[in-house]
Amino acid sequence: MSEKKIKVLIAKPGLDGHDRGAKVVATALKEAGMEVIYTGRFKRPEEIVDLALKEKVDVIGLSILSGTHMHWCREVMKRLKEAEANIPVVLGGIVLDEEIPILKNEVGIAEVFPPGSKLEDIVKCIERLARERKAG
Amino acid sequence: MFDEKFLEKLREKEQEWLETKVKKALTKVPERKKEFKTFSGIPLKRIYTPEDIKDIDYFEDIAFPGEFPYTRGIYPLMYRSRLYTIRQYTGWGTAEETNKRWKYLLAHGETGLSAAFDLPTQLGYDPDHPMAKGEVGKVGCSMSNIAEYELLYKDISMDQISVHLQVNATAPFIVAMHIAEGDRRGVPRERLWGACQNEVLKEFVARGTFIFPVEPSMKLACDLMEFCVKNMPRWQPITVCQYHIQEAGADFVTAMGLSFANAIAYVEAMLNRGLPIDSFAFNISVWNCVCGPDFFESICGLRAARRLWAKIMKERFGAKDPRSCMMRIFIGSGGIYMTRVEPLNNIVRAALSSVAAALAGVQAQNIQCYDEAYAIPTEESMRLALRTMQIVAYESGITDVIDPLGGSYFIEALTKEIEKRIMEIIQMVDDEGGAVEAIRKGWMQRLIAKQAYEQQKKIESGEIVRVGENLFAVEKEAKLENVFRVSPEVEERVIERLNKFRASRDTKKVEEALAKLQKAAEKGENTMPYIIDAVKARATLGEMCDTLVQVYGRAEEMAIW
Repeated sequence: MSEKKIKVLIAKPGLDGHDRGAKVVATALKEAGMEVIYTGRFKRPEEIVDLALKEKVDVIGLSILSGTHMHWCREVMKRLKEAEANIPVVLGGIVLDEEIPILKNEVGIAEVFPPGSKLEDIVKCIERLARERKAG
Repeated sequence: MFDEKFLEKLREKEQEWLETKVKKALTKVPERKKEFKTFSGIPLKRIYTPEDIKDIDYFEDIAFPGEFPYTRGIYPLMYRSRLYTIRQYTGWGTAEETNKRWKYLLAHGETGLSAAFDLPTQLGYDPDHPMAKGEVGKVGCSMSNIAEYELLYKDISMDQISVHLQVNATAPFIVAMHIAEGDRRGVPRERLWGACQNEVLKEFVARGTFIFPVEPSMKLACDLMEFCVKNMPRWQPITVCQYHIQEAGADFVTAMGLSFANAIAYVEAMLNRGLPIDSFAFNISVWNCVCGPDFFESICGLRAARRLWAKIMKERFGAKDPRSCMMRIFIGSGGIYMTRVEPLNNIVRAALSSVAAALAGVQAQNIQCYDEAYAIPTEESMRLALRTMQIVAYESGITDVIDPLGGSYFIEALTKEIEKRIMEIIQMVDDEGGAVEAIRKGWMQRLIAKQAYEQQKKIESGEIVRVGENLFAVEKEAKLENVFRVSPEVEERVIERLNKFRASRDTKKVEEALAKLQKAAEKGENTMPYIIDAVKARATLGEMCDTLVQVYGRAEEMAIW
């Protein structure tokens, strides 16, 4: 019996139009054998969380390059908490180094990938998060 | 360009050189790479000789500056008389902050303005709309009504200094504010000097600030263009953008080909309105292109684009006025090439881009600031970018001779090759049924996404070199002391002001103006006069936009990858 594919939701919250990174990461995850849903742009946090729950994804990837990541990450995490959903969330985008510990420790983002991150590392991270989640 | 006898001798000599010198050299130290290619994948030869340009006709293909097909530049004197305009993409917070930053740059010798608006403004949301939360003033200036526009332009001339308004889907509304502010000050509309981006097609395939579906988006873009070419001769109502398509992942040549296809779609839409080509072609021939990361490909690519545009306007569209064939180019160095590690390296990247643009004969420059991968620029990083362009323009001597690389075997051969490749992409889009159809089918989007992924793979394999990031990489952590952050207080302040603005106006007048706008849109009339009236009646951007959404609907995000 083959192992169930890892399912990932790549989402773009807010008004940011830069979707190059989101699409590149989505393609890399797909090539790595995962099932990927990409929401497209302009999604509200509740739409993202609803879709993640409906599709039963293992990991959510947010992509934000407009400097509004603190706001949107908090909103998404808040809604996940309200839904009592234990889905790890990773973030890719223009994030400052000093914001990374805040995002990870206070906001609850599992991992952050600033510009210059490697696809290989993103794939590995998502595989690990999905594995850890399954192991409970 | 050369006679057969000379070429025969050249071939003989080249063969001799290969068999003796080159062969020997290769045994000692082989070449660094198996294949040398440009950023767009064009193979590069070891050396270029007269053989490579033998089919190029000086008078037909290169000619003199200011002469068709403008390969060497669109003006007879180029930078010897007037340097390119230096305009940095600038805006943040509210109108006051942006006005202050504009004045700062002008005081330091900037020669034109380029306005950055925040995402709510670019997407038609007032700052108090739920979708605008967290986004107000972040990546540009918040602009929702005529009172704000007045503050933006405080103490800045509207006819002595030119501006480029970086708005697309909301261009009709923002330009209407510009016109209304001009009217208020008594600046005749024919004196208003500047441009707006208004390039909606590329928003669907690359940049993402679209509101209405493709067809009504084109209709509004054309309404604005038609209004401006008839009333505002010093206003360029569209900037065709190769830039954002390359930023979204396409290589230089593909991005150029796709933007040519988009440009052709705009020209055809204007012709379909019954406007003669020479009545609008000059005003819609401003292009925004990437210059960088490949030095020679950028130079040759921009020369090629200028020549091809001239030919297309003349041959495909029958333009007779020489001005209709003059592509004016506004460059940026491309944010995607600015690395996060060792950010000061980006100063050098942007400087190379400025040099390449000067060698390519562009009309305006904007280069990326070194903190691009961190945030929008600080005053200091902005000034440094401005100084970089000024050193290239005023200090280096690069601008003293027109098209100094023209005639180089390599430059002319690569210019020709790129021209050919751009034409192939235009043909592909034509075969798909034109730009609008290719976008509706997602064909362009898929092509760009595919190239973006391939490029990323090349960066990670080291085939595309990024010094400090994937070559000679030492630093693990990226550090920058001074990073710009917009205070959250901006959002509160701008909303408070908007509330006051709404409370102080005559609501009945606003409603009447919006009803007239809606009716005009329903009847298919040119919306511009009604938008200007609505702005003057003190309607907000969000209200005007919502009115048109009622008529045209909202575009669905296609999410093609």
